[in-house]
Amino acid sequence: MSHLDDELLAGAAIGDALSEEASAHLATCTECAAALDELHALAGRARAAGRPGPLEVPPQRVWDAIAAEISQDASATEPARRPRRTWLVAAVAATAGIAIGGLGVTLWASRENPTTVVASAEIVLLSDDTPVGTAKVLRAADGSEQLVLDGSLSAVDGADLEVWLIDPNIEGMVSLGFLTPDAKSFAIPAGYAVADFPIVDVSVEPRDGLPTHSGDSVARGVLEKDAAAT
Amino acid sequence: MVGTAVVGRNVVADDLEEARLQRAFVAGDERALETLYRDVSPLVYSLALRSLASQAEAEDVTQQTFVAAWRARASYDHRRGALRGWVVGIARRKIADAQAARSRESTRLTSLFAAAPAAADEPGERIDEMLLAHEIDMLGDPRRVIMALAFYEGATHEQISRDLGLPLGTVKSHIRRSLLTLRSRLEAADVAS
Repeated sequence: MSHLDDELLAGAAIGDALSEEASAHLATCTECAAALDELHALAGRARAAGRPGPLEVPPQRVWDAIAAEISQDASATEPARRPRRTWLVAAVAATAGIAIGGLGVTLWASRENPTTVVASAEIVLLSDDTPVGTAKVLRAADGSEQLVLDGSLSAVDGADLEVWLIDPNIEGMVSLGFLTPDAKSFAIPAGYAVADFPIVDVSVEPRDGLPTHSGDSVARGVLEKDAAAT
Repeated sequence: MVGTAVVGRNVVADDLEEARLQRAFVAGDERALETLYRDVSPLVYSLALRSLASQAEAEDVTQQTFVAAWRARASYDHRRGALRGWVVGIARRKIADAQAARSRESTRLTSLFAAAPAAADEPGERIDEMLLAHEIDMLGDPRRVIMALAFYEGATHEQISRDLGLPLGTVKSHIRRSLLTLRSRLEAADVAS
């Protein structure tokens, strides 16, 4: 017979009787016997551990220190607020790829059509946190918003890079389109407030015709409201 | 530790909540870190306090644990267990580091003053015990109550069934599932350490 299922083993560990067939299996299967021993030991430890004392909550200053340390991390690696464009080059996952360079998006050039940077994010590779660029949300005078990616990413052959906005619960997401050398700027559909969908995600999408997220994210960043925005 | 894969946990609301937290955390959402901190820091701090018997050192260890977890968030792999267990695994290493630093210090003192100070007590077991008790506490009702009656009070399944007015089969089923949940939660803390 096949291995005993977990519930059966857990039952045996707390004294439930086993069927003859199950007992026979247990007698010959070291794997199931070891699993039973482990559960048995766990039950024994729970008995020995006794009722726990109350846990102590660390003083507030501990969290404050953590938050301070983390925000230092962020500002040390965040090029987002520099007035000039920063070029960061990185290869994704060591796969041979088409370098997507020339992200020369005319962020600041079109002065006659004033836009405000309302949020920005540093985009880092999920594999090792290497910064690979920045994302900015620009709001035009008419209220429409665009996500502009600045930096450099490489795509694997035979696949595309797709840009998404995702909510903090990773439940809702919207595709903004494919990232190509010619498309670095994406209209954010009305109704997708950046505050509600703050995660910028870049995924590798195989050319399989499926419109959903492949689950293969390569880079991410979390948009934060720009201090300068009013 | 058994080499069998521990999968097939029930997908309950807790797990969904945990999955959301995991993804937000890995995505670099600082609010997820704060949620995790509110959830696990009492355990981490109490473990450190109990093991090191120094409030200052316990605060340091707690701070180091969460900063380290945040910086290593990209390396967190949900397939290896719950985020909480992973953080506890990191805390364990930090506690061990603090103890090692202390014993280096005491070795230095020993060479100066010939008399060896008392050795630090066995931390691993005590941490395991606290962690287990805490995980039982985290099971949620009615499992927490059932487990407390069965394991801390030594009540029989029949007594529990009577006391709580639950069918015997239900009581047993809760205990079986609780054991399996505890196993996978504790494994997460072991794997990480």
